[in-house]
Amino acid sequence: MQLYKFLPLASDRMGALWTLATIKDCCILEYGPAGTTHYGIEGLMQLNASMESRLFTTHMDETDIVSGDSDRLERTIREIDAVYRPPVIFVFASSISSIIGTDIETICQALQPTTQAKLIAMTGGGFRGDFTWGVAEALTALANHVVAPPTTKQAKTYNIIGANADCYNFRSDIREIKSMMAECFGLKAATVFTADTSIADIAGAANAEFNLITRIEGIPCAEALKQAHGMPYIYGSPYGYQGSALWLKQVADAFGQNCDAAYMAQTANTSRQHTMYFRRAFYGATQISCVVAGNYDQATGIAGFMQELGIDVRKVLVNHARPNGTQVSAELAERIIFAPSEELRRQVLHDEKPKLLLGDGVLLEIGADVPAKIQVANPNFYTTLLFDGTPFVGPRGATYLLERMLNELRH
Amino acid sequence: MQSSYSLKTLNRVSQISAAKDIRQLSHAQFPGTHCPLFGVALTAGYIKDMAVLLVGTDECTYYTQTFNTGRRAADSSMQDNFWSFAINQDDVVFGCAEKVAETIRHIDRTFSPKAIMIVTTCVLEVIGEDYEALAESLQPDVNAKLLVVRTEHFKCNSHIPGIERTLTALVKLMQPTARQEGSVNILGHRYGKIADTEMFKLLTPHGISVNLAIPSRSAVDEIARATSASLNIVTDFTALPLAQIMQDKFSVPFVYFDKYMSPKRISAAYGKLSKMLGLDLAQESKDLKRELDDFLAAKAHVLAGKRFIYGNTPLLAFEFASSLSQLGMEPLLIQARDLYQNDDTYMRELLSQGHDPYVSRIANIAPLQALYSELKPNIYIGHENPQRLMELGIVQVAVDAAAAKLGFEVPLTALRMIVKAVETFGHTGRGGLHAAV
Repeated sequence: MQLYKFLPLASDRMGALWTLATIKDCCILEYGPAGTTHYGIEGLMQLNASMESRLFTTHMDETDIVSGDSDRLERTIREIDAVYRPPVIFVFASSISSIIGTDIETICQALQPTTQAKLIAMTGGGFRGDFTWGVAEALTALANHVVAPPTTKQAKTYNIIGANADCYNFRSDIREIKSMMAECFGLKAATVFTADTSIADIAGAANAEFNLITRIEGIPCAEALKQAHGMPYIYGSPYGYQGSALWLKQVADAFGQNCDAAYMAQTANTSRQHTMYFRRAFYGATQISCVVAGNYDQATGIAGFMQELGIDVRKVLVNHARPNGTQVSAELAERIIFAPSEELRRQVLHDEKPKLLLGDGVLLEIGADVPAKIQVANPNFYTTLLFDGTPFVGPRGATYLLERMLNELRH
Repeated sequence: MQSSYSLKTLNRVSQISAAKDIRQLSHAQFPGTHCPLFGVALTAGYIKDMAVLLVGTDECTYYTQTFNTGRRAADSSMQDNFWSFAINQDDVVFGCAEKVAETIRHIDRTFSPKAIMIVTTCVLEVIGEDYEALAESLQPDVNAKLLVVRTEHFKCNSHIPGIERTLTALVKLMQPTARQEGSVNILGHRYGKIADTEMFKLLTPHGISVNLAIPSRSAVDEIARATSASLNIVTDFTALPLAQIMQDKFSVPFVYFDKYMSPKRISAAYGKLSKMLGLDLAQESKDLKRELDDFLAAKAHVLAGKRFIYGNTPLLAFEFASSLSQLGMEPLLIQARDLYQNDDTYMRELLSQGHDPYVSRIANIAPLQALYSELKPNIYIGHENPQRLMELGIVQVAVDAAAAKLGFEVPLTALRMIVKAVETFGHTGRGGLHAAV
């Protein structure tokens, strides 16, 4: 049954909009009824992201639908091009324009010769898959249409691909990854796809040495950059103390970098100290059980950290369909559930009776009776995140999460 | 193609005789109007014992539910009564009426609401499934009364039809009942705490009982007895169609008493209310007005000569602008959704005061932002980017709080907010504290 008390899975269209909306100088035009655009703008606030791009709607009336006439779209593209002179306009189909068969791609091609802005058609109207599909589509579109060939390679720089508005803690997590890369390798971030960035930054991304892919949806983008500009990449996210150390080693091996010995020693020492503190705090108590939920990389990453701490991870709920290319260990395969329904989520919490819940705003509502709860994922209803010093990734993220868990569990 | 936006695109008040005369400044709209589905969310969430089933795309249902969750947190009168049926690509191709029917049966069986409001969205209307017929054929199988509200946005310009249709759909729940003299319904009030309003506090000591406030204090069974009221007081124009149907079908007369800014109109509305209810409210009405008069006597000078743009608020655009003009303020541009009841009167008032402001369609602030330097307003009334206005030295006031009031407290609340904003920021210019800070 497609019935939801809380929220359905966000669509591909929503994911693509969320991904592009945070880019300065980016222009987005939706061809559809205005209400979805207005809703989308407000929805971005719930992701604790701000609208950095210029987002417009054409609106649409019955005549457009009945006649299939796309004059309104063409006029609006020309107007935006003339008035705002943006470097790029992403032209989005809506569910309605998709259903009536408006060929956005052909319209963009026809207008391109007389348009200064690069026109990029986003043809999914919200029916091709969930939001992760749209995140991947938007990231790949940036790689294919916006990133320019390298002009001057910048030594000791890298890009981060996959820190997008739908990632609950994206600001803090980016800051921590940048810190890790600077402290461990002396490397500097060039472009982040797609937070705190601009079209010009993305256009120059091929000048960096390599790409760090922090979510699986970023792989097609990374592959496109590898093909077009020869940029190597690695995929993975540094969750937990051990996970962070492994990730740094992976970066070092892949790109011929040397880890700073003092940094590694210090983080290893912090790891030992805090892990021991956590274990001692619950020594003799029944093993803590937890359920983790969120996007694939974040949920599996946090689950790995929980296991590192000796917590029994009963289930990992991934809030979207299984992405292509996922390789789940046999142990995790028994516990992971992709795109669980609300009913299944309720059932999981009922059956597993976890002591700790690390999940999204919906799961925290469903699991209101779970003794310890920490929001680590979207969707988000009530939480405002302004401070960028509360990561979940990296050694500092591990310590922050561990501290939150200690306080929650003790209450 | 023009390379900038121009006020010449717009009509002035004197050039507007029909809704089509209200023009957009641009083809590209930001943020665009809300859709009728949003209007349903503003309205149906108040009605107890009624489940609301949204049938639409992931996007429509997702954002409506997140909006509702936030609104519930801010207004305890709102119910947690919305459900979503999220359609997929197969539903677009093959239809989903039977699946929706099964979902309705499930809600009826499992949660036993007394009514289920089925809300259809754009896609459902494009693929042409007949949910009125579905509800009719399904009704014998379910205990809950089935209502249908359509919310396609491609046939209208705003969320207002969603409010109107939600309210008029409730007529289906109403039954003829014995008239109770001295009992009134308040129609159209979409805010909690009706008992705190001036109108409520004025009427109840005179033995008038407020039978229902629809939608904000109502339940399905209570709505069935709404026809027992001797009078409907319409406090929002969106409830006028409901009031008209109740008058025609159940002979319940109504008085239209919107959230006016003009003291003269409020006095007249209280006068009409007195007559309809056989009460003498003249002295109390004067006493209530005195507080407003005293405030204006002390603060009117703060407002006199100030130039303003009227943006998006829940109040009546032309009535609001006309009333401020009477206080010596100068309307430069009015953003309007549409033309509503009595707007012609308010526009004539503006013209008779020597003002002929520009009028643009609401919810399109992007092109307007480029024209602030030409218009040179002191005050922007409504929602905008506060940072941008602050940088331009424009005082911003959002008067939404006034919409929860009824009577003289409406202008008193709104004017206090405007005066406070001007006094804290306007007099000192950019160096002062902005109202939005």
